[in-house]
Amino acid sequence: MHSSFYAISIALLLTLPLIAAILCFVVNSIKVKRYLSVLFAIVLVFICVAQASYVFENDEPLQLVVGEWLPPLGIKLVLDGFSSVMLLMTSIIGLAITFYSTHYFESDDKESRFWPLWWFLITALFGVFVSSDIFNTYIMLELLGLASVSLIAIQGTQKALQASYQYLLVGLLGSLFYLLGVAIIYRTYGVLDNELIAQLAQNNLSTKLALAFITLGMMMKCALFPLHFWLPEAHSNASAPVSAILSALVIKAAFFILFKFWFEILTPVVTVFAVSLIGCLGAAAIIYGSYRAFTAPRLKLLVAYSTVAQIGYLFVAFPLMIVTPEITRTAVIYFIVAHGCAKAAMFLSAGTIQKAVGHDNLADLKGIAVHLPLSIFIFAVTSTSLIGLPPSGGFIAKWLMLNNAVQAGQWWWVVTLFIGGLLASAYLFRVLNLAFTTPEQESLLDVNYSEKKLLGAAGLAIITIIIGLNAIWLTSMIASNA
Amino acid sequence: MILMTQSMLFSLCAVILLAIGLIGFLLTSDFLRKLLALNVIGMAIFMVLIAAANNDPNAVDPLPHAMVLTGIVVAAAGTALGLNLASKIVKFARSIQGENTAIENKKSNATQDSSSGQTD
Repeated sequence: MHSSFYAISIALLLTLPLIAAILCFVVNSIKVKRYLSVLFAIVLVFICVAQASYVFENDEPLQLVVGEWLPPLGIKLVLDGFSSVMLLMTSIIGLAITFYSTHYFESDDKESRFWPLWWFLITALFGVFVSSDIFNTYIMLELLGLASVSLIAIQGTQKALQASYQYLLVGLLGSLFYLLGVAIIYRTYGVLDNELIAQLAQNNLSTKLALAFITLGMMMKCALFPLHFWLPEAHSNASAPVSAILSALVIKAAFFILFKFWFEILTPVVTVFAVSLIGCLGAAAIIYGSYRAFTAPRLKLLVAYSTVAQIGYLFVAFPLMIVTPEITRTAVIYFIVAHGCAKAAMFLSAGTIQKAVGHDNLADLKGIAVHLPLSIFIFAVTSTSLIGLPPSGGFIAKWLMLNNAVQAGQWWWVVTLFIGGLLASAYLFRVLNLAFTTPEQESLLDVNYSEKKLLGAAGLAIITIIIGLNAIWLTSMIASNA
Repeated sequence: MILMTQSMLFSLCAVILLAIGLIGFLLTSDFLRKLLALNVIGMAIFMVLIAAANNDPNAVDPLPHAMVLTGIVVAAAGTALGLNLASKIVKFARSIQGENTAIENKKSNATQDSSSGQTD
């Protein structure tokens, strides 16, 4: 009785944001849209907290068989340890960004287009995290892609339109590769349910081909190093709330799918050579992304390149997964949460700086710490997490990864992690250094900008520190369940 | 036996279509052609699914057909969004080009060749 009540609540994760989207589409008044959105975001946080606490307390995944049609005919929604953490993170970051967006947009026209798309995006994110059927995941992935592209496009500048078009092409190609993988799997095994495929999966040529196509497609969507070319433009030209959710969550959704395929569904075909190759791409992403972030001329471009670099860490975990799966899994989940909160808060504060100053050219941002203390404070706090300094969540995640690499006897990853941390501190201190220097001539910046909407971002920045301070409790909880 | 060859024929078509689509996507710089190439790739994948429906010679599996139908809907939505974006970009490029030519006209008062419709 009790568990079935929780199981049915999984359906709320998909229906509530969808209802919010439709209401935001139908309602005319901007104010009502804002109140509705904040209300729905708060309710979703409560639901996700309740579900996560149930999953972690009872140590069993929640399942909802839609319409009581059991697989292989029906579709199953599953909420295990990994996905409940992802859902919790999505709902909290979603609330922070929702709150921020209620004060962000300068024109009502833009804002009225923003809210319905925003809720479609949240629906699709929740859908990816609870879906346990590879074709259903494809649908959610496409919804996610279309909503993200439209959200970038509502910015309306020529650059944003071009970036969103490029993102659309890459996104469509990526999900088509994924669909090809799904088609091959269906042809080989005749089922679509994650668990059933995992039971049937064998090491044969068609499974290898399917995993290769899915990996290629998801690499495009995650912006792993050689296929990252679309990300900096797309993420830096969108409006601040959109950049925040794209960098913090949308990329992680593609990573989540990829991770599941490699280490839960098609595990028999995973070879040491394949994971090492992925790990090398991750290492290259760390170095290249950090370098480009260091030379980036604009603040938001810098933060976007930092995402390219940080995604690399998640892929460096792949070769470690084969040796020490349990600890690495914890490290990956920890890293996703730490990076998600930090990057969302960082993009929001960068957005406030851009709004207040009117541009985000780094060279002209000297001395803004005086005018925008809260934004720079948030930027600094989240920087500690991205660099991996204690006591932030990023530190714990990197520490776990370093430990694993040493345990696995693969010291070269340790070197990469250290270089990555150094480069991250180089490009982030570059911003902080500029923010605190006194400009030579009397400042041209005339900044009278309210920072009160940054409260949500400040909350996220505090979360990155809290998850660092409560590390032992959190890691043991994730490790016991995931 | 006939069904076997049918399935293989579909697979062969899928491979050829996939090659055409990928080549078209990677080698053209025209962004409308890229969108069309994506649609061709989509068709190739639907062919693979249709071939999967014929795996068992005694019964046709309906599930891949449902998947293809859903896929077509998604592809149509994606293409519509792409075309809309493309037309906005072209409009933007035209208006900027128009402004530029107006400025140049003022500056030089000289005749110049109008390169209309050349957008990239």
